[in-house]
Amino acid sequence: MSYIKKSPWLVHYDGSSCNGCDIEVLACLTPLYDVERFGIVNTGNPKHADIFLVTGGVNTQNLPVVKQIYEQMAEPKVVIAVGTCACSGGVFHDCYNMLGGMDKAIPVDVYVPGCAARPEAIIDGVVKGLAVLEEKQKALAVPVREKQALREKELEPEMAISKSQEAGK
Amino acid sequence: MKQIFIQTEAADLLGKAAQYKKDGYRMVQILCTRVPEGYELTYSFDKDYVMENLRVIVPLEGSVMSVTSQYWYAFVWENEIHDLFGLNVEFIAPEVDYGGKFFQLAKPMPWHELSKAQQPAAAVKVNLRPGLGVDASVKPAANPAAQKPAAPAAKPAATAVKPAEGGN
Amino acid sequence: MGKSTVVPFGPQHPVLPEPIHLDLELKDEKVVKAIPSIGYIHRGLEKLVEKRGFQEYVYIAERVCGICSFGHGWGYSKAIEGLMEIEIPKRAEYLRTIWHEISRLHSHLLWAGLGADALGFESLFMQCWRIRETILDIIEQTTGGRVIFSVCKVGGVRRDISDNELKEIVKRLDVLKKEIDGIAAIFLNDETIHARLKGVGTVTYDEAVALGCVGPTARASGVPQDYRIGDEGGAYKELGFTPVLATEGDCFARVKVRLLELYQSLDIIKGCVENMPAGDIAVPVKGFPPAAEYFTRVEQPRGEAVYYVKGNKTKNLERFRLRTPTNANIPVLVKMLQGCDLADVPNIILTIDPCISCCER
Repeated sequence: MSYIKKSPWLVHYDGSSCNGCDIEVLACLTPLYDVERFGIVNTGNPKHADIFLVTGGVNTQNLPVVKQIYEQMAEPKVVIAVGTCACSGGVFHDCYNMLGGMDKAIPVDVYVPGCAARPEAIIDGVVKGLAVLEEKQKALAVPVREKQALREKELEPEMAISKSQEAGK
Repeated sequence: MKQIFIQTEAADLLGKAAQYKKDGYRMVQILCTRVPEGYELTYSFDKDYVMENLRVIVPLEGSVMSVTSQYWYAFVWENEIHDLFGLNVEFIAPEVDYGGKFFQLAKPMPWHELSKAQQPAAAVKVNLRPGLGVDASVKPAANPAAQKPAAPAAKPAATAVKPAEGGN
Repeated sequence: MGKSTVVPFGPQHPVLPEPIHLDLELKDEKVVKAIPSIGYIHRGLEKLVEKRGFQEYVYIAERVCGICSFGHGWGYSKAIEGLMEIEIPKRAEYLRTIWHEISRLHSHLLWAGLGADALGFESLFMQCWRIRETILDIIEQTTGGRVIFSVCKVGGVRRDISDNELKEIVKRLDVLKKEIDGIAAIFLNDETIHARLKGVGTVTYDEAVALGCVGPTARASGVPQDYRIGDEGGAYKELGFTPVLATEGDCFARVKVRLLELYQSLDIIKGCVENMPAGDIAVPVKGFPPAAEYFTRVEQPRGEAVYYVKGNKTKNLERFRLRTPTNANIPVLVKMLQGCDLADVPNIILTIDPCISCCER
C-alpha cells in the first residue's frame, strides 16, 4: 500500500449549507470512516490547516468570513468544496440571498458533488486534494529558493555595512 | 388542526396581546405577508395545543407597535420582519432592538415587493399564455383592467374573517 | 471587577459545526450579556415557493435543515394536505411516524456526541457517533439517502417498507438499545459530566414559560409541551404518548430529557411496526392549492416547528412560512448565557441543540 507523505490538517467551515454535508464531514472523523487513521486531523484554527473543507454556498454575510479564513491559511493550501451547494449553489442557486457556489468567493481546487455528499466521496475528495497539495508544494518550492536568493542579494549592502561596522569596532 | 383567525385593528393589538398573556397563552410566531393593501400580520398564540391567530392589516406607509412589552421573545420575529419586509416595528425593547442589523442581506428588504402572482402585470402575462387551465381563467378576472395594485377585492381570502373554521 | 470586554464567539468556532455569532460581554470570566447576530446561513428559502411548484417544493423544505430534514418535508406536506383537504392513507401516516422517530434518534445521538465533544469528552463523542451509524444504515436501507430522506411527498410517502424489513429493523433497534444503555450510563453517572453540567445554565419553569422556549429545552424545565400529543398527524394519538419531563432546568436536565427521548422513540417505532396497517402509501394529488391558508405544526427533534402555507389557485404558493424550534429558543439562550462562565458558553449553546440552518432558513 502506498503511503501519504503528509498528515494534512483540515479546517471546516459551514458556508450556508443545510447541515447535511457538515454532519457527513463530521461522520468522516468518527469510528466507521475514521480519517484520523490517515493522519487527517480536524482543527479549528485556520493557521494550522492545509486543507479548507467548505460546505454550502456563499452569501453576502459569510463572504468576508470565508475569505478571511482562506487568507489566514498558510501556503500551500487546498480548498475542497463539499456538496452540490458549495459546487454551484445547488437547490438554493436562485435564492435572493445567495451569490452561488464557493468558487465565487475563493479559488476551489476539488469539487465533491452530492446532496448530501457521502463520507466516502468526501474522503475521496480529500485524497484528491492531497495530490493537488503536493503539486502546489512543488510549484511553491522553486520560487521560495529564488526568493531567498533575491533576498540575499537585497540584503547584501546591509550585510556589508554591518560587517564594516563590526570591523570598525 | 383548527384554524382560528381573529381580525383586529393595529390599535387594539397590544391590548389583545396583554389579554392573551394574562390568559396563559404562549406566543408561537409572527407571520408577515405582503398583500396589495400593505402588510398582513398574523400573531399566533397557543394554549393546550390550540392556536389562535390575530390578524392585523397594516398599510404600506404605516407601522406597528412592538409586542415585546408583553412577549419579550417576539423580538426575533419583529426584527426579522423589519429587516425582510421593511415594516417599521415601533418600540421594540431597547436591549434587543437590532435597528435593521439582524439579518445582513444582499438586497435590502427582499420581501418588500409584491410577489409575481400578486402583481397585475404578471397576471396579464399569465393570461397571454395559452393552456394554463384553471389559474389563467381566475387571475385576469380578479384584476382585468387594473394597472396598479387595485383593491382589496383582488384578495378576498386575506381580508375575510374566519372564525373557527374547522380544518383537517 | 475589571471593566467589561466584548469577546466575539463564532462564526467559525471549533465547537460548533455551524456558524452562529455571539457578542459576549464579559466582566472578568463572567458573561454579563450575550447578543446573538444571525444571517450567516440566510438563503431566503421561503421565497422560493414563488419559483417552484408546490409539489416540487418538498425537496427544498427537506433542505431547510439536513438534520431534521424528514420533519420539515413532513411538516410542509402536512400543511399542503391540510390546505387542499387531502386525507392520506393510514399506512403512510405510520411510515412517516417511523421515519420521523428514526430521524429523532439520529438527531439526538448526533447532538449527544457534539455535547460530549463540547465538554472535552472526545471518546464519548466517538461512541455516540459510532452508534448513530446503525441508524444511518437503517435510513439508507429504507430511503436510499443517509441524511436527506426524500421519501415524503404531498399525499403520502414515496417508498414502502416491507413487513420483513420492519421486523429486521426492530431487531437491529434492540441491539441499538443496549448500546444506548451504555452511553446513557456514562452521561447520567459520570462525575465529570455532573460537575460540568449540573446547575449550569439553569432555566426555571417560570422563565421557560416567559421566554417561550420549545422542545426538550422547555421540557427540561418542566413545561409539558410536546406537539406529539397535539391533535393531528402520525400515529402518536393511537399509540398513546406522554412527554418526557425533567424539573431541574439546567444543562444536565436537558441532556437527561434527550437521552430518555431516545428510549421513547425506540418504543414508538416498535409500536408503529406492531400496529402497522396495510394499504396504500400515497393518494394522487390533483389540482392546485386553493386560495386559502393553513397552519400546522410538527414536533421536531429540537421542538415545535410551525408551518404556514397560503395558496392562490396556481401551481406556486403565495406564501410559506416556517417558524423553527431554534428560532424560538434563541431568546432563552440569551437569558441562559447571562451570568455563566466563559468556559461554559459552548456547553450551554449546545444544550439547546441549536440548528442555525433551520433558524435562518
